[in-house]
Amino acid sequence: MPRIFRHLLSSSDRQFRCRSYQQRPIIWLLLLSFAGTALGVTASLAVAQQSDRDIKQDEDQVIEGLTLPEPPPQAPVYQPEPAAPAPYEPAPYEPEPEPAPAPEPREPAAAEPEPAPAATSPEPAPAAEPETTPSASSTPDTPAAKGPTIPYVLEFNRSPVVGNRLRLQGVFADARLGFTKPRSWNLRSAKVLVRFQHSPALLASRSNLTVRVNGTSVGSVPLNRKQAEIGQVLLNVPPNLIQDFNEVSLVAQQNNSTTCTDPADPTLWTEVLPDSKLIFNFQPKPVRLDFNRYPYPFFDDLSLDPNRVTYLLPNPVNSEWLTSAARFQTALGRLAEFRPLETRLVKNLNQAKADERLVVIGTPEAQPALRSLKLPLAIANNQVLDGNRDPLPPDAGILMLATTRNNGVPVLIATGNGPEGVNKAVQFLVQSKDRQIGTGYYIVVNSVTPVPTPSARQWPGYLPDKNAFKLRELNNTDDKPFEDVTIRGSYAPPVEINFRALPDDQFTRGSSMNLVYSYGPQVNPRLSTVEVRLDGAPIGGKRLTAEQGASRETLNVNLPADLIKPDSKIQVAFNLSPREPANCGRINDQQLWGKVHADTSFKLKRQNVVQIPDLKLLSTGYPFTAPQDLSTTAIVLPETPSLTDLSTFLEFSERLGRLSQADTVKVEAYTQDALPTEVKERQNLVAIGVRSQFPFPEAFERSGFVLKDLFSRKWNQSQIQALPDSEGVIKEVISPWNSNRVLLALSAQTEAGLQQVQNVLNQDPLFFQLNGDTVLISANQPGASGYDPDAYNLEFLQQSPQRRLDNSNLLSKVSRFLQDNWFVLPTGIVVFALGLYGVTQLYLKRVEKQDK
Amino acid sequence: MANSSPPLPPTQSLPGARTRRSPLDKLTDWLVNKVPSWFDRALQSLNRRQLWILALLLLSLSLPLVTTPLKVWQQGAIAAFLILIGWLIVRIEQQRNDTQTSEYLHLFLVWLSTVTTARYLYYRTAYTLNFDGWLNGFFCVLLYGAELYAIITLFLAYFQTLKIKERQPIDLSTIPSDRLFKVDVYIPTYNEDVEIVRKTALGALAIDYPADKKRVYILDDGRAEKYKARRESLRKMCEELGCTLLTRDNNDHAKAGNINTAFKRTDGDLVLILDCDHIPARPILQTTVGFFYDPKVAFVQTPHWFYNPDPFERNLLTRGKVPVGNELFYKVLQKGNDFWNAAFFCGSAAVIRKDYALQIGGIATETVTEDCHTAFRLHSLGYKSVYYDQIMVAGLAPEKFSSYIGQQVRWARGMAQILRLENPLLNRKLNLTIPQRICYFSATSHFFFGFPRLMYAIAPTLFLLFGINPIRGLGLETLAYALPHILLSMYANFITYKNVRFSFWNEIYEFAMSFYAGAVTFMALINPRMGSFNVTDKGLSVTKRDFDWESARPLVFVAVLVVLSILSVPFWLILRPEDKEAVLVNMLWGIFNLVLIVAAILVAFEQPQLRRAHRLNRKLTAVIYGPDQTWKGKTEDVSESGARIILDSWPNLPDEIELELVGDYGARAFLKARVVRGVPLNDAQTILVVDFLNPTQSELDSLAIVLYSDVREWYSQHRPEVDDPLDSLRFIATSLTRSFRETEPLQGQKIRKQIQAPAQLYWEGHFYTATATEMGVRSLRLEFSEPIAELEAIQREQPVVGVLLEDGHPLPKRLLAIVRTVEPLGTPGNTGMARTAIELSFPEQLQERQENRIKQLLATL
Repeated sequence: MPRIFRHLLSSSDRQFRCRSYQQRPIIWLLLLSFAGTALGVTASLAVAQQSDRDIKQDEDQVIEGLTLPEPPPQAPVYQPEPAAPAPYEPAPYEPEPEPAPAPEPREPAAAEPEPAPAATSPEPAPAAEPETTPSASSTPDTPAAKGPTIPYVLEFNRSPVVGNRLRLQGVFADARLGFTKPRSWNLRSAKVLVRFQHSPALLASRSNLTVRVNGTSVGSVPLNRKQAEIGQVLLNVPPNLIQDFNEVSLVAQQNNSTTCTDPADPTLWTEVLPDSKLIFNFQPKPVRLDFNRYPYPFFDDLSLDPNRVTYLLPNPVNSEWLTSAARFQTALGRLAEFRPLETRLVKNLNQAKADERLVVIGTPEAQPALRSLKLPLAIANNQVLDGNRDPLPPDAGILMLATTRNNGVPVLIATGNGPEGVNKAVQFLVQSKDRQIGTGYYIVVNSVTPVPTPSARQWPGYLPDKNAFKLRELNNTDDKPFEDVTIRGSYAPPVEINFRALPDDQFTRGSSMNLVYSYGPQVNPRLSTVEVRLDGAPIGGKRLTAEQGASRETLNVNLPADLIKPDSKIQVAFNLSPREPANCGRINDQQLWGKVHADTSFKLKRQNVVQIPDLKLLSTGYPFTAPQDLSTTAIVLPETPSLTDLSTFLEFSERLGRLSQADTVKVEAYTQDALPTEVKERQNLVAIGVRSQFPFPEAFERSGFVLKDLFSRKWNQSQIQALPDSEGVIKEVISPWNSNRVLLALSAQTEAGLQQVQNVLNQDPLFFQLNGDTVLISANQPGASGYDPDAYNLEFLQQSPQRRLDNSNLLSKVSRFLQDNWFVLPTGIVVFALGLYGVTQLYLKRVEKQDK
Repeated sequence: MANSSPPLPPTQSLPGARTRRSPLDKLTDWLVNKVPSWFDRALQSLNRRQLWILALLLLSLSLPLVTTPLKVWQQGAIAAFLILIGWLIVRIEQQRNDTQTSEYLHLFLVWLSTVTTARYLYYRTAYTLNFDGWLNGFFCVLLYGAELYAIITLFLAYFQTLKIKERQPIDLSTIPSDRLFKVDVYIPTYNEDVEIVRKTALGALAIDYPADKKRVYILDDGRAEKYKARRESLRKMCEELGCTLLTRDNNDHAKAGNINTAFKRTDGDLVLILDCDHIPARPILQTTVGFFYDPKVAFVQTPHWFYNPDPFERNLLTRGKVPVGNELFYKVLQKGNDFWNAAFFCGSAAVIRKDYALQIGGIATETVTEDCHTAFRLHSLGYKSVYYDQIMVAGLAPEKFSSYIGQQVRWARGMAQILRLENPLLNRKLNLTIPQRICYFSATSHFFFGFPRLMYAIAPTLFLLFGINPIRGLGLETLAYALPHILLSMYANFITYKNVRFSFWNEIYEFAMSFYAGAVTFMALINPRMGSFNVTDKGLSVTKRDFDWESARPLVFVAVLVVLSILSVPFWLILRPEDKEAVLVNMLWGIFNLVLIVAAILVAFEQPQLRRAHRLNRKLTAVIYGPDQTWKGKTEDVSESGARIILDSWPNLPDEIELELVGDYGARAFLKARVVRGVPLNDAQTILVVDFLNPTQSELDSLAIVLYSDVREWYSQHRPEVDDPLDSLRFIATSLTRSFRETEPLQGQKIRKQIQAPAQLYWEGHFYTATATEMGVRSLRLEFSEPIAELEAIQREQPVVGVLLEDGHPLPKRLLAIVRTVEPLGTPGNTGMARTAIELSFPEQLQERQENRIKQLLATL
């Protein structure tokens, strides 16, 4: 619609509008002031709106009066190049050993919540034979993709559920693995290579392994290997079976007897080895750049490799750029969630690599490289010009898409003729709701909706701030509100409820959960139970007593106060036993079902108390993520930040993004000299820099661990000098300027040390270990994976006194004091009894006297 | 001993001991003297209202002490600490034994207990309510309600006993006789035995008050047709005694209507109302009328007291050692109420000012407890009440458990009616002070104990038998919160109750009545106009053991449940070992309940009454007139049919004597009596048990005056026994064995005159020489030193024989007697001859003919 409307404007109209724009500088001033002052005012100010209506109408005319250039005939098209060997992953590819003992586990914990470890990204597999297929089809929208197909190998061990092996046990067992298809792929062929071992006891005629892709069987193989030798089967997968989100299931039917197989027989096993793989051949699809697909291609949530984003450094690096970059990177962090994201800074366009996406933030003045790009809007005299070659107003944000390196690298440009414009452009991309209306390959952002700051305790994905709520008010693992969940079968996996306490919650006794559940008929009442666990620890259960099933039963469970943590999960497990025992491989538990109803309710008793500083809280982002739009956080860098400072800064912003969820980002970033005093006094501060240039030496002048000049370090009374000092330091102290705020120092003596800090921020396994108030980080080898337990040394120190941030009422405060000093309580009882006794006896005396 | 220095005289060591006071003494001094006087000084300037506010402020400031949860061991330590303090204070109180100190210590304990109870209540509310499923939820609410009721009752009782008011009578002798009030004595009666009314009328006539200022009226309410003969005998009795019979022919509003009718027909200023079985003591008017010279006083109440054992005393065989049910009310609660000017009118043994009673339309008729309702209305007009704690009536308690239930049920219904109709706590129309409202609320809600009490008994059963869990997480933690609450409240109450209500007896009273009280109060709440006045049966007697199934059925049912639940414990321990804590706590609770329930059931196991009349433990002067000698003694106890007399000698008495009993104020009664037994008490004293022989009406009348009216102070005014909780529990726990023990009449020696007279026994033509050794009015003992030929035949046939007794006269006296027993006496010493004794009794048929001869013999031998 808007586009059509634009075409309908006559040229005379345009001229008139243009002239009127030039003739009315006053209105422009008004517009500026309106944008500057009224941006934060919400629409609820009806009276003000009424009176300002006339002005507003005029302004609207002016805004519409911007003359946009005739759109170029073709949007820029990004032609993805085959990814080069990843520069970030120097770990060499090890050829498959043959015959294969299962490859070493790359990571120890299958319990790690994030499924995609960054370190196990795949490499192009030279083993797979290259295949050339003529390009058969191309979407009408995109230019036909020609050229060779590119192989891609996805090993099973990239999934954390696989680990050492994928074990299939029982008469009928299946295991599933999910994978995505990157958007830029034009899939030509796909194969599954399954390598497996199985029990020698299996009866070949009645045992087989079937591979299904998205529910379709793609092949089956009898389990007839002798002496547990390794079997291997390569199966073709029709490419049209592969969707965006896919599931491979490996189904084993296993029998060791022709007549009757005991399903619990431990000899019924097949193990799929972790070096089984999916082999794809694809052609990269050219992508027409358009904001309606944003964030693709700058971020592809279906990508099998880490998304790589590169920022073009402005000149100079100032607070405006820092703030915009921080916000943009935070928004990327939110998009990425658990997916890996790699960020780099380059000084000129040529440094961008083939599989990277380039982000250019800043005015044409700060980013002179803009001139060398082919852009829809012309740039002259460091000003972006409109169709009439007039400079756009300085507060208009401009977003453009372009490519460089022969269309091999897409470029996202957020610019404007003034810092407000740049800021507005970035803000448009950052605000998830606004972003959705974007389309085309360039956008002039006239205004963005001011998004009010949510309350400090409104954390999406965490427990609600109110104390009584229903299950449907919580989100399930897919981030959707909970609905009734039904499970089937004897030992179905439990229903998991994310029960994440806010980091500043302190639970007291008396919290409870009232589980509402139903179950189906034919359960064995003697053996069937429903059980509630909190992080695996059973906290309540009940027998399922009705053979004919029951509907909407309730189970009231006390939630132990000290077990509820910011990463807690409640599991509701139905242990359903069929009324007749299974025998001869007969499946007899599929009629059993249990259901957790969404009106299961919770009643919490908690106080809003937290002790700072505590780096453990940083795993939830607290206190920087309270409120979740990060509006209480300011990041401070040295006056002239180094490249390492900046990449640490981006890493931290990204981490904040992964940890928070809101409609907007309001984090601020400053260089040391530009930091306003009121920000310093009001906000939680994050200071980044090596010791010699560290913005707040105060952080290291107080108690606890102290980094001093000249490579000396101090802890309590001990003071040493160490060379070389390549350890990173993360230290949190109470802000010297506001005792309710913290100052987080990301520092080191050297740049190499700061690199370690980056690694901690980047790698989940390291980041979630943070503890105490000071962490010293060193790596045993450069670029090691966070999943390798031997790769890093983390030392945790806790020295500086903690401060209690207590937002609870007076009664709770006194109550907590009494809990800490319990012997005061009996004394208090006696003292109050004495007081009441004294007053009453006097009162009784008075009554008696009056009687007489 | 040679080197020992002379011992210090005791007087020298005493002052040193006095100056070195024990820490306990110092603590007491600090608590009882220093703290109050400090507060007196510090809060001197505050008025009463400000003190109220200050107390409320302190209470609200103690909120964190109530709400802070602690770990189990910490709470356990606090529990131990608080219980220790409670125990210490009770110990101090027992050592000091001084009213003022007790009062202060009680007050302190009350507050300590209040805060502790509040802490328990918070814990119970916040953490232990179990709404898991409707069944659990339902019983959880019931049990919680029961506990709330108990806690409210506890606080109300604390309030009522904050200060016990002791009154002294106002001397009437200073008041000129023309200013003395005219007093009418009303004895309302319905269908009671005329003999009972007669004793009350006699007592009323004997009341010490100028005769022209006092008139006695018997208000007969019996319907003319139904009780015609009775009314006639009443009329005769009134004529004979000199009192006035007022009758009416309808029966509207029962006792209240009866009194209201009489109000219009008599002219006294004051009315002494006496139930027809309440025999007044002489000083009743002298001590009470004086209070009316305060013009605000509307009535003066004195305690009720029963001289017969109630079903609890009789059937649990307490032998009078345990305070009876109403002692708590009359000895503590009424006095506490009196402090707040909220003493209740109890229907009898009270003097009421007629004017004021008529201002409220006479005695209230809307409820079946007209007395309390009347007091309530008088108070809400702003009049004062007086309670004077001196027992001055002797009444009859209901004998049987069923009639006891009837009486209690009436009170329960009446009180619930008042609560429902008048809403004493919140009704804005009433001109009552807040303390009066609290006292009335306490009284009118008292009988709601029924269902809560049953709930307590059922709660552990619910868990053990049905798996219902009305308390979430019952276990050690619950105990750590509940025990200090329970024990401190017991300690606090112990100080005020120790003489009037023994530990755990409250529970028995409540259990015994629980079902009926629960049902009646519940019905009264639904429909307060329902139910009529029923007259309690009195003066009945129980003659044989009998279990009153009808009355005890609900409780037996509960007991069976509790027993079953206790039997289920082993199964729990084997099958569900994870619930051990809850099971054991429930089991202990169940056993405790069972002990109390069994005792309460035994109240329905009617024990026979061994005596024809109820004994009074009165120490009256008794003079025994023998034929030529008098002995003076004191009665140990005395009833209308006999007495036990302690004599300071071992007299040689005949078995029939003349007896004179002297009352406290000098009234006398002469009676003939037979000595049933004599029991030597010690070297110098004998107890004689005598039965009165066929007393005439006038003898009975004078006996009634001496027994019931001529009393300075009834013996139960001061009870020497003090509560000992463990003893009390032991006593209750052993009720079962006591109830089934056979009662045996006391053995004692027959009393006959010791004589030495030659005698001869004549039978079938033979004379046998013997010596008469003992003789009474009805029997004789002969001892034979020679062998008797036909001894076996005599023993077998028990024939009538002739006896010749020589008493110094020339002619021996001839008597006929029947042989009763023959008893060989063995061969004494060296004589080698077997001796025999024969017991003879004088035949009834010849009593008249032989009597004079026997008496002569008794006098001379």
